[in-house]
Amino acid sequence: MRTLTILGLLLVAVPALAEPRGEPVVLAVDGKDIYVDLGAKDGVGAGAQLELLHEVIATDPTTGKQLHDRFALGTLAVTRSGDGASVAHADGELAKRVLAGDHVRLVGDKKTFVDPWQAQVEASHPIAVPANPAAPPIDHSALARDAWQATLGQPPEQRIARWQELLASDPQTGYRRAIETELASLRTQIRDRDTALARARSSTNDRAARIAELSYALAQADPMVERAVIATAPIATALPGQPLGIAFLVRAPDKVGQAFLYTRTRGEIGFHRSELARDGDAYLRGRIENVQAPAVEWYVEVAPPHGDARPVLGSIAEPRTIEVSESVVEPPPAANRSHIDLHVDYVDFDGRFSKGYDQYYQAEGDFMYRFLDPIYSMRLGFGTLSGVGGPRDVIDHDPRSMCTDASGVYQCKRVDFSYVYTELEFRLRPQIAVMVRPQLGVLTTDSRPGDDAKHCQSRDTTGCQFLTGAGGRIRLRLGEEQATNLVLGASFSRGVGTLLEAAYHWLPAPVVPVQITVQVTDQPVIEDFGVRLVGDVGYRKLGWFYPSARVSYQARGLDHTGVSGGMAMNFDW
Amino acid sequence: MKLLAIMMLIPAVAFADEAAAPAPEPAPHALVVHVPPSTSPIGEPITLEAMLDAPYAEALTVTWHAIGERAWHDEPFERSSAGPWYATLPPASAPGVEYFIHGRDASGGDVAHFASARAPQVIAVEPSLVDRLEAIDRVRENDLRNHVALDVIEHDFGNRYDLADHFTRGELTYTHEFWRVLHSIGFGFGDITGRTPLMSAADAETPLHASRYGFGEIRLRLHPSVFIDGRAGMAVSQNGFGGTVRGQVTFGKPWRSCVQVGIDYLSDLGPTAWVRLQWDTAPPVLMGASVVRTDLPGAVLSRSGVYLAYDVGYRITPRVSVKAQVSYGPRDGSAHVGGGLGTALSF
Repeated sequence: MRTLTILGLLLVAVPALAEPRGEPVVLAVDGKDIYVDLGAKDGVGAGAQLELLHEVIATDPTTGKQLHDRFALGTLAVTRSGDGASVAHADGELAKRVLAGDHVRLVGDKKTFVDPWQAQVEASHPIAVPANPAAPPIDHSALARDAWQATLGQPPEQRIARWQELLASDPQTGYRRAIETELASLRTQIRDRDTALARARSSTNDRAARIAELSYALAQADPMVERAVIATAPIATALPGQPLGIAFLVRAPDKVGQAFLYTRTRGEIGFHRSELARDGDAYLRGRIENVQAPAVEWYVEVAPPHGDARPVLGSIAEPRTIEVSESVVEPPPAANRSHIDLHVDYVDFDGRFSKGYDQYYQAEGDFMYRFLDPIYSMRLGFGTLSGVGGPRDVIDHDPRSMCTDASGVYQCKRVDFSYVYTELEFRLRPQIAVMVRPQLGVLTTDSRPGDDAKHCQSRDTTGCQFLTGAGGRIRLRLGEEQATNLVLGASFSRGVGTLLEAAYHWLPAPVVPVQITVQVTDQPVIEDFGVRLVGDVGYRKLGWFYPSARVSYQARGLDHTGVSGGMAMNFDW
Repeated sequence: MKLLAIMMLIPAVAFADEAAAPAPEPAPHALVVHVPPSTSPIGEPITLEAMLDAPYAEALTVTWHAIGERAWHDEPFERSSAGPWYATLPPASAPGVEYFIHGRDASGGDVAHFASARAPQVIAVEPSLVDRLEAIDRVRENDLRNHVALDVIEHDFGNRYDLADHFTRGELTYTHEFWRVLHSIGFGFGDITGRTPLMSAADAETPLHASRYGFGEIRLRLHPSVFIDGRAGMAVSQNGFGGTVRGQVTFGKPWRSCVQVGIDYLSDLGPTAWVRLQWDTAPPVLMGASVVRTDLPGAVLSRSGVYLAYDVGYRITPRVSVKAQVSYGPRDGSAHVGGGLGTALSF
């Protein structure tokens, strides 16, 4: 019975192999009989030797390359042959190692063989049956030979019909016993063939059993294959932004009615559900559309044909994870990340403007970019502070208004400070930021009386001092940088003075940024402290630019006050 | 008996088509069971391991191609001595391969076993980080790896005594980009010429200082957003033969928003250090601001030479870009202005 099953399979196999033929293989193994797809047409007959080849997948340790290598396992001896197939035998140990699908190779030269069945027919010796002496003699051998020739190349049904025709027309044939045996054999083969064909066209249930059997065998061969109802290959990492196709082998098709894939980016609250589509022999396929760093979490639920879905790979509580590589795609330029601020501020403490001795102007060009992380922003800038200052009492009490003391000594000083700086802003909390700014520059002081601001740039530098003006500033901001916030700051510049400030910024209207600042400073020279109140109002008509104007009131004493102002241009990209 | 059966059967099957029943039943089919992979490491062969049922019912094939390739290739299943069947696809390269499994049955019909040409299974192959970055660079630069750039800057520090304190620096640089960890190499020639007072005095001499130098440079990409530039060269100056070295670290990408910190030293002309902030928020213009502290061109009267430079770059065409710079800063006296122009040709 087993042999006939094998033959049934061969029935299926041979047409496929009748196409351009590949390398000869073992078609089936039945006990000691090894069926190979080499026959008389291939120069193989009884007594021929076939080399049995096994295949091994080997990896070159030096290159990591894999190759399929074959090796000779032993020699098979052909015992019988047909036109396209043969039966061979192997020694005891070798016979245990032969598998269907193994390759075989003819050892030695091809030989010419005749069809043994035909030879058998030719060689048979029929029993002579007495006939009617009057009738012409019947040549039973010729009839049988003709019938045999007619059956060659015919399907078994036509062979049966031909042999039955012979028995009907030549009931006295001496080959009756052999023909009836052949008829029984043909009928058995037809039955087994039909069984094999029916199995190959089997119903869903039968397919499910076969698939389950194959899946089990696959899992036995590869321990990495999952043992759940469905199985998929591990996915270590994925690329961000590239949808990922994912397919599952259905190991037990009769237990799967519907299947659903649940996915989410790590950190998302809920999972996205999509139904897996059936595909091919026993597969489910789906797609993870949203692949984003840092990872994709997923699980699969399967519902049997008449039941509720339940998780089979991962679960909502313990989803499986696919790590997603960090994106290296460069995003488009981010809007509102850079800011350029050019401002000039004139400060008049004694209310006498250019005729006074306590005035200065300060101009700064400030370039800022917001990186957001890990440093929130960085600023580079250049500034100039230039003015004159001195002791308040001397300035206020000199009747000649020349900043001379009671002994007539000039007490004021002119400063000219040009500096560059960098500033880094760190976000401690979303609404708390610290800004640190070192600065360095060139400081020129002139203590000689007179209103010549360029005296120290002439050949006569009497009373001039030339210094490297190092300094710095630190600020703390509470609130939102571009909305409502309060900034507390302190700065110091060598030879120029100290500045303490508190600035409140808000948007009374979306296009009107306003800032009120209170400053305490002894600038432009290190003398008496004064207080400033500065109001700055902007008008943001354009998205990328807005001007602002400022008015300030400052005083170092009740009788030492002044009002002045400034302006700024702000660029936001 | 078995022998007779098989011999009778084989020719019978060969003519099976002619003996087909009036209502032919479908041809018998194989079954292919494998665990489909979705990803594969780069550079490694992809082995599909399968169990087959009735494997000789069809000529089974794995049909595959690299993503983006039009033609398909066939790979037959081979049986291993261990039991399963294998089909091995060649070492994979990014972005991956597509495959499907099908067979041709006895009647010549194509039988789909897994996926199809219209809906193949994708095996994604993740390129290495360097490969991914190179692909982006290649697109950004329109596959133009070579650049020749000419830059000229000048800065006048001014002087309290109205003495000359300025320098002009010009460099012609050829750069070839690899877009790998070794991001680029280059070489070039430069010239610095200027005058600076020997002391802070009204009658100080302001001799000519100059250097001609040749250099080679490399840029390493140590991280997607960290670049290291190095330069070394030889120079001749007013005092004789010397050298030049330069180093710069870029946090961010040099063609995007970034911060650059660098130092440059030229023998006889002194060191220069800078911090540069660049932003790309006003495309297609690339802007930058630098705080530069320098002794160029060999100043000895003060270590306070600083200036702020603001530069703007613009790519006119994929092959031609220009840039301009203004600077403002002092050394010994009030600040003065400078400027610069540059152009680059890519090919």
